[in-house]
Amino acid sequence: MKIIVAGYGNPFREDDRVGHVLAPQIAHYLESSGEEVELWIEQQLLPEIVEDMRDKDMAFFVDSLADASKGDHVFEEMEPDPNIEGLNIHSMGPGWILHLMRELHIPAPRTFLISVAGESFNFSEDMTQECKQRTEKCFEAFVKWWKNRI
Amino acid sequence: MANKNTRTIEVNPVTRIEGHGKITVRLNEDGSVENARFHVTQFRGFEIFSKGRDFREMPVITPRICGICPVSHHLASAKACDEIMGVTLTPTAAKLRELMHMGQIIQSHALSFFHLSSPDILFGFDSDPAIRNIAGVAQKYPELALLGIGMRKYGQEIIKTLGTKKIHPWHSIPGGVNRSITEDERTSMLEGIPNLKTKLKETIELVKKYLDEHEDQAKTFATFDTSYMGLVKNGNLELYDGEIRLKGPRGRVTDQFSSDEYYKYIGEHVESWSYLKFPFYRNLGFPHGSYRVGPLGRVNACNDFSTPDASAELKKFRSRTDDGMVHYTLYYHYARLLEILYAFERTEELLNDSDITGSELRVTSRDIIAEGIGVIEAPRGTLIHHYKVNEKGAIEKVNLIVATGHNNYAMNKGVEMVAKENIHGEDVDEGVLNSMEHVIRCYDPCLSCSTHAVGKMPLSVNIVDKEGNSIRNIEKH
Repeated sequence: MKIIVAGYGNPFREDDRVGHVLAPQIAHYLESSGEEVELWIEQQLLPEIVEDMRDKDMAFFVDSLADASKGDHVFEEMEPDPNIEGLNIHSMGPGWILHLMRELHIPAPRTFLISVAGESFNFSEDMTQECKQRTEKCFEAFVKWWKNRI
Repeated sequence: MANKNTRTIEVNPVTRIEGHGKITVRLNEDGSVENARFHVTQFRGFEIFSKGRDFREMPVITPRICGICPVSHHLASAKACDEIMGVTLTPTAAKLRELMHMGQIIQSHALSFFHLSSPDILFGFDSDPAIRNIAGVAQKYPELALLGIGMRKYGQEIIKTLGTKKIHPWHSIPGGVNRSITEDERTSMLEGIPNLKTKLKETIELVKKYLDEHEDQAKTFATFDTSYMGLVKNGNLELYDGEIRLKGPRGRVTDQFSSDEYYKYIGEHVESWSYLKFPFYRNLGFPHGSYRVGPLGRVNACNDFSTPDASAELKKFRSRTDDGMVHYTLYYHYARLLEILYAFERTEELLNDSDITGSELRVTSRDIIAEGIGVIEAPRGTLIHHYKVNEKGAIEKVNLIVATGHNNYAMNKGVEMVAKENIHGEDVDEGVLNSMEHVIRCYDPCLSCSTHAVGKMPLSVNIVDKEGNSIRNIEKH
């Protein structure tokens, strides 16, 4: 199966870097499980990712979650969403990317967003201990889900 | 002091540009526009906190000014550092740097035209804001949207191949570069060009058709005669390394000088209401010495493009006026597409040059010269990095004149022209506000760069009375 794992966020803002940490772990795990994996790491999502998703069977977006009340980590399947948060392409999410693919008549892969709750987003290249622990648990949960997904 | 009989309209934020900005329109008592100003309201101060750092760190520090054109800062900074070391690059290093620069020009110009500005052109300034965006373009003109995405991706892949990352890549080092490209990478880059170039030419025809069909608007929208500035080499448009040329409104070369002497010719005017400075040509003073840079500035300042297809298109571009000088502000988009064409052709030339896969990447030196100046043409215009260092190489002074600043006077004048033509009283419809924003979009400013500011770019439009009291404030966040 062809899979893209896209981690994004600001690596200089504490827990906003979680996508940069967790996405490579997930990509490595999937690759070691025999999947064909493309790892995509950026500071933000951009329209160009639709070309990277074009030929994939599955996509995982990995991001931080500012609202911890939703849980330590959230794993959700995404649907096309025309609403863009904010004014410009700096703030697009996976749902908008799927919407863009639909408008461009590009077949979209089954897409999931994996979010890990952040504790703090101040200037630092280190994640908080809380977020590190949540990231480990999230990875364990992903592995468990992947093994049992059928 | 504010006149007691005026009111003010504020557009805040200006959208679909890079950074944060605000427009203030001051109304007279009769509802006519007294003046309009484009404010840049943020400040970050790289020129200050870089002091004390080793100059060799600057090509890594200064790209953090911006996420859109980090390559431009990376290269200008590296060029300044080359001068401090007193070295001349190997042909391979110089060509690899220029190759990355072409990737930057392609991806940034594609972003400006296809993602940010084309919605206004395709749907109209006063169309529904809900569709006036890249998703709207994708829905109605999917081939055009795909072309924009494809060009962005192509340019970014060049940057990533050389610098390992699309944003904030690291490739240039003082004295050279840190990697070359493989034969496979060269082949892959070359393969991508023909199809994109063909579709780009179709887009140029589309834009020409639009300009013909909207001739009155295209020729009058925020249009005024100015001087133009850009780098040239042997008289041709140059983006990486050349002399700075100023050309007057009637097409006479006013001045041409080494980029190392920029400070003798370019001054910087400051206004209290904006963090963005106003560069000007010293011999004429401010504001008469104001000029425009960027795509329109460069194609007006040069004699020609050095590549065949872009040169042929430039002749058609210039045939639209009697004297070949094009002052129409909406033609910034047309000029931007010509520069993408040039960048594709120049990329082909560089990739077909045997030096590009060479292995002599770096020249070393223990010399430290007290001063270094690096000038390149960023997508938005002439970018100047000027460093002074002590005997150990620690930065003592930094001066950055960024592309957007050069166009500050023109952006303000253009916004005021549109405001005066369209605003009569405080009831201003959204289309008029968007027209004022589009003046700014023509110049594709990067306010993060120009103020070295943090964040995205909301814009506010504020309408104030003559006492400066806000009577209407429109904000977009």
